[in-house]
Amino acid sequence: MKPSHFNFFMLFPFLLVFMACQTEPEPIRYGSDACSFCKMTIIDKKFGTELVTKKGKVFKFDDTGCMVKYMKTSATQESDFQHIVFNSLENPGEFITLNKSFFVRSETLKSPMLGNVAVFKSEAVAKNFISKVSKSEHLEWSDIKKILSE
Amino acid sequence: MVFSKTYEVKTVRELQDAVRLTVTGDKIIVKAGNYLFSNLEITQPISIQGENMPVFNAQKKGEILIIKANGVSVSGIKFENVGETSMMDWAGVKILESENVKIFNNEFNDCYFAIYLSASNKCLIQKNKIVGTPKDEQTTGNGIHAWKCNKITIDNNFIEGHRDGIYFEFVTNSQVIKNYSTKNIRYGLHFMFSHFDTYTNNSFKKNGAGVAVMYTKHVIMKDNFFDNNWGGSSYGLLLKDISDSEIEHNLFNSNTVGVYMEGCSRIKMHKNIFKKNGVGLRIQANCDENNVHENNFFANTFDVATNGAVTFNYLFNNYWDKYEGFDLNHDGKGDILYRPVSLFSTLIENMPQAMILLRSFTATLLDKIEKIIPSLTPENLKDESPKMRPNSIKAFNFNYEL
Repeated sequence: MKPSHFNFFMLFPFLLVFMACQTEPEPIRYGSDACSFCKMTIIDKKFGTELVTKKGKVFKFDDTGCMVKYMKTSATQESDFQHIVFNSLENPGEFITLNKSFFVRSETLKSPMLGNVAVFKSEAVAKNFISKVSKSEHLEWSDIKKILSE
Repeated sequence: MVFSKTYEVKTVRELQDAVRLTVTGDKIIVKAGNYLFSNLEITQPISIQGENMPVFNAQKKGEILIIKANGVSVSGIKFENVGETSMMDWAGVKILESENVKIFNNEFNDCYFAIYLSASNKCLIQKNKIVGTPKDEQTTGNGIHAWKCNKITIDNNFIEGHRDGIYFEFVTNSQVIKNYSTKNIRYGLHFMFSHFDTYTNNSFKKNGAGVAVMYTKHVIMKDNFFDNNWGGSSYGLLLKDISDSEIEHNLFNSNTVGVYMEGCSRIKMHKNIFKKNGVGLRIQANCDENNVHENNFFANTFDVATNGAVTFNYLFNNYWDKYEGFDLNHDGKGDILYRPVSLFSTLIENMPQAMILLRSFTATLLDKIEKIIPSLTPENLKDESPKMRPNSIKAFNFNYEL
C-alpha cells in the first residue's frame, strides 16, 4: 500500500481557510497593546474591553468609556459586532460577553479613562460590591452608553 | 513658649511611641537599622529624619507611612516591600489631604506605589530614588502618583521600573523638574486633566510607551529629553487633546514616533530637535492652529506623517535635512517650499504592509515624482521657508544631580 502522508498537505489550505475565518476575541497583551480610542497602553486587567467585528477585526480598549465613545464616533451598533466583551472585576483578565455582564458604576473605581464602570459576571458579587462601596450603582448597558458617550 | 522636642528611636516600638507622643514641630531621629512594620499614621506636623538610611520594611503586608497632617517632613529613609492589592493603592508614603509636606532624600525599593499624593497642596517631593521590581505589568503601581493636587513640586527624582514613573490626574499649577524616569512599564510621565503645569529638564528614557499627556490645557514642556522609546504603540511624546500649550527646546532622540499629536489645538512647538526617530512628528487630521517652527529634523525615517488633510497648522523656518532646494538670494531660507510628508508615508498610512518597500528604488522614484508634481500628499502641510542650515539651538544639559 502507498503511504498516505500526502493527505495531510492536501488538508493544509483548508486549515488556513478555517483559521482566517475565526472571529474570536483576542487576548489583550497588557502592557503592550494600545487602546483603539485613546491610544493609551492597556495595562489594567480590571477594565479592558474588546470589540470584534463580523469580519474578525479586533478593537481593544482600556476602559468601557473608550469603547462607548468609539462606538459613537464610528457610528456603530452592538449588532455590527460579533463579540463585545469586558474584563470582569471579580476575575481580572477574564472576558465576559455583553449579555452576561452586570454593570456597576462608581467614582471610587478610578478606571484608566474615568469611565468608572466595573463589570461583573455574577449579580450576587455585584450587589455585594454595591453594598460595600459608597456612591456605586447598578446601571443597564443602555444607561452606561448614554452616560459615557457624553 | 513651648520648645520642640527631639526623639531618638532605635526600634519599631520606640518609633510608634514617639509618633504617638509627638506634637507640632517635634522631630524624630530614626537610627540606622531594620524596622519591620506597616500602616503607621502621622497626624501631627512633625519631621522624621533617618540617620544613615534606616530601612522601613512593610514585608508586603501593607503600606508604610500615611501622612494626614500639614507640614510633615520625611527624609533619609529607605522604604521597602510595600504590598500589593487590587482594590487599595498601597504606597511607601501616602499623603492624604495635607499641605506643605516634604518628602526628600529617601529611597524606595520594591514598593507597589512609592509616593502617593491625594488631594494635597504645596507639597515637595525631592531627590528620592525610586526603584520598582515589576514581576509583570499589573503588579506595580506608579512611582509618584498625584491625584487632585495643587501647587506641588516634583524635583530631582529618579524613577525606574514602575507602571508610570510620574502620574498626574487633576493636578494643577505644579512643577516637574529635573527628574529621570526610565524603564517604566508604561509611561515615563503620564498626566490627564492637569492644567497649568510646567515640565522642565526631565529625561524620559526607554519607557514602555514613552510619555503621554492627555486632555490638558496650558502645559509648558521645556528642555526635556525623550530618548529611546521604541515599540508598536510607543511614542516619545503622545499628545491627545492638548491645547494652548508650549513645547520648547526638547530633544526627541530614537523614538518610534517623536511626537504624536491628536486633537491638539494652538500648540506652539519650537526649537526642538527631532533626531533618528521612525517618524519625527505625526500630526493627525483633527489638529488645528498649531505652530511648528524653528525645529531641526535630522535623520528621521519620516519627518512628518499624517492621516488625512491637515488644515490650519503652520510649519515655518524649520530645518529639514532632507530638503534639497537652493537658496539663490542668500537669505538663509530655501527658495522653494518643502513638503515634509513623503508620498511613501502617505501610502503606508493606507497600506502598512507596503513598509517592506522602504528605501526601494520604486519608493524613492515615486517620492521624487511626487516632489515635482504633488498629487497625493496633503496640500496644506508644508514649510514655506525651510532653513538651509540647522537653527541654532542652545546645548542641552541633562545632568541628573542625585
